[in-house]
Amino acid sequence: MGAWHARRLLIILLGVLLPLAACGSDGGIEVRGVWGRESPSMAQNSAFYMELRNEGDGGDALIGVQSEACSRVELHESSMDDNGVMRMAPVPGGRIPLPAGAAVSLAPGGLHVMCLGVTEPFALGETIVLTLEFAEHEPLEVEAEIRRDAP
Amino acid sequence: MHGRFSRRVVIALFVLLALLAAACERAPEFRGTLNPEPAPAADFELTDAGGQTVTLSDFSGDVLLLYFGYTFCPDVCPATMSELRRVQQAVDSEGLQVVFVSVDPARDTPEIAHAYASGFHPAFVGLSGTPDAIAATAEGWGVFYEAGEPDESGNYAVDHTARVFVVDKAGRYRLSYAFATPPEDLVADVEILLEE
Repeated sequence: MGAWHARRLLIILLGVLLPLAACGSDGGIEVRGVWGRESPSMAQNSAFYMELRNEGDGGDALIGVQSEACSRVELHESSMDDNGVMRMAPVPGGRIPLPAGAAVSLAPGGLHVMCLGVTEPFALGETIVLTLEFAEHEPLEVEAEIRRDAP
Repeated sequence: MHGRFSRRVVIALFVLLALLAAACERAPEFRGTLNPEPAPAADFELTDAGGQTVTLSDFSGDVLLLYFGYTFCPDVCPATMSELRRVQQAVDSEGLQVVFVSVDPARDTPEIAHAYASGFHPAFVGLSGTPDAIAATAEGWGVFYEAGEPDESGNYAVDHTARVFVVDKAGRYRLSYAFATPPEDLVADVEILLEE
């Protein structure tokens, strides 16, 4: 009887403590799989993609990106209508919301970092430095891998 | 009684299986969206990088993958062109021709359209033309396109139909694919069409 109680207590304690431990992680923005596509020599515009995860307790947003590889950077979203027409527009308010605990994917045909006026064509295998700016967190410097196809 | 019944069931099953097998042989299973009426594809008169007029019949005998886009497109067009490169590499046949048609004649000259297309694969052809020629081509293919408002630096996006169209060796429009269809699906269909 006593042993059964002790085991139950342990399970309850684990159930309470494990989520607390998760909350205790650094609570920042995690960025993974940053990439861009190799571009033909004459292409003027390009895009960057990545996975963002807000590990913090409060909401945040990606509000800007700086890169020396682009004359200008904007946050855009492509979306397809019912007739198969692809439309592209800046994201509302120029920001990509990052709700607490949520993962947001920037991927071809959806949300992307639009690079207007590439200063040089993106070459296969090179890396391009991006500075990501957030509404709440400090800016993050990340490296985009230039690839032929999505990772 | 019982024995005769089960024999009938077995015979019926065999007939059914034979019919199914025959059906499979007659109609190959395409993965793309079938054009309900595979009629001769809409012809076009466009311009290549050398300034020559190019029509659909110039490609007769080839299986054609036709894609409408624009070279200032940062996201969707490079994604599709990269997928088409994977198709070209997997099929590895001179009987396959990928053609990129610009829907942005104001910025994409035929030279620029071709440099863009061949930048993805040297065998790709890029075409453009006068605004009238592009409009007529798009209308013939049921392709929508519309240039957006230029921003302060003059850059603009062009909304456009993002499908890939397939023309068979006889010049008939047969299939189309939605954006982000796996390249393996196109490869399977193209290989069937190359065998026809």
